[in-house]
Amino acid sequence: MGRKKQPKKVTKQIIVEKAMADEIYRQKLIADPKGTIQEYFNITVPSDMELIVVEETPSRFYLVIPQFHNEDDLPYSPDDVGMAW
Amino acid sequence: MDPLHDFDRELAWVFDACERQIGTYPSVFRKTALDYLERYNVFRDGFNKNYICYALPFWLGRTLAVDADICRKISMAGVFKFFYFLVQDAVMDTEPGEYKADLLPLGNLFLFDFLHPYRELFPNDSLFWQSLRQYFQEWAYSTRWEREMFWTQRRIMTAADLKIIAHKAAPVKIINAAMAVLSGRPEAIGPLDTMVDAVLISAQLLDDCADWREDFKNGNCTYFLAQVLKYYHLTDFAALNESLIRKAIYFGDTIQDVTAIVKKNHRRLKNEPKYSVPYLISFHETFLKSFADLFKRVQNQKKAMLTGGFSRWLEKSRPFPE
Repeated sequence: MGRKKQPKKVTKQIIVEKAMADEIYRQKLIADPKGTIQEYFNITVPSDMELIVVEETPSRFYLVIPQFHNEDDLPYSPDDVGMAW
Repeated sequence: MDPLHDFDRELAWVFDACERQIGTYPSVFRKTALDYLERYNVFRDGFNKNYICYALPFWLGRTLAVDADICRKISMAGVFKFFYFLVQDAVMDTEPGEYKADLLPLGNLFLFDFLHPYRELFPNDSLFWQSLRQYFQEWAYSTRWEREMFWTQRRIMTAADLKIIAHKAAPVKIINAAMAVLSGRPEAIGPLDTMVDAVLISAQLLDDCADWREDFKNGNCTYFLAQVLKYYHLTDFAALNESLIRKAIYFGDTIQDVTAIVKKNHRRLKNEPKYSVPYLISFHETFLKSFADLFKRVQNQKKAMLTGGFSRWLEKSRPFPE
């Protein structure tokens, strides 16, 4: 009796790696990113999220600048440490 | 070696004794005094405050071979000393429209119980009283200095200023003088003060890191925020905003700069040739660990941010497929 396999966590890397290995999937992903992710990974990307897939060429590369998340909690809150005495 | 829990029995005695002493206060003050005791009780669930002022007598007692009963008395005095200065701070930090002067009478009761054991232990001409005066003067100067330096001189804090800031807790060093004189080694006061100053600086820096939002809101240019100004080559505090501070934390060397000072303080503790206090070193290691943890958490959050918004959405909202 085999142990039940843990479902694999879907990461951006997994989504992108598959596009590098699977030509049919790659074309679908470029044409319809949300639909393809739903079809292959059963993950629903919200309708208010715009998802764009770009593909590098031998002479065209992309530098993606992430957004700085100002609302993130920094690791410390005032209750984490006590007074200086 | 656990700088807190190795002395659970002694500290339990101290807090019980403080509670009994507060029971002798006029009834109108008892509840407020007991609230202080509960809030800063090391045995309370979720206690996460600093405890050097209670535990230092026991740490020094081991190093200087001072009688356990005396260590307990000095620790008890340390509790009331801490509460006395908390009252001073509370009254000094009164906001417009607030009224805290009612705390002053209670502060005086704390003052009496803080000084009482020392009056029993030290004659009038003891060196202890000269040291006590020095520590009170350090505290008084420090509490005015920060405001004077920043708001009047408009000068940004440097590393050389940290010792003055740490003197906001100078009364902790009363314990050094007491234990050194009682052990017959008054020459130990200097080295002990140097080590405790180092620990107080590290503690202040950790507070600065934790409280940067409140300090920024209140216009307190702490050393931590001064490093943020330095990162942007700014001198005007008014030019900062929360977003800039966060970016300096993530993308600058702000945390590393502050951690370097804490590491230097740790070396100072470990290199003390004659009056090394192992428990003080162990206590200071918790600060090193806190800064290391903070740095690691910031790096992990930065790494997650750099993977982009879609990665973060996958991580947060739907880690596994339906």
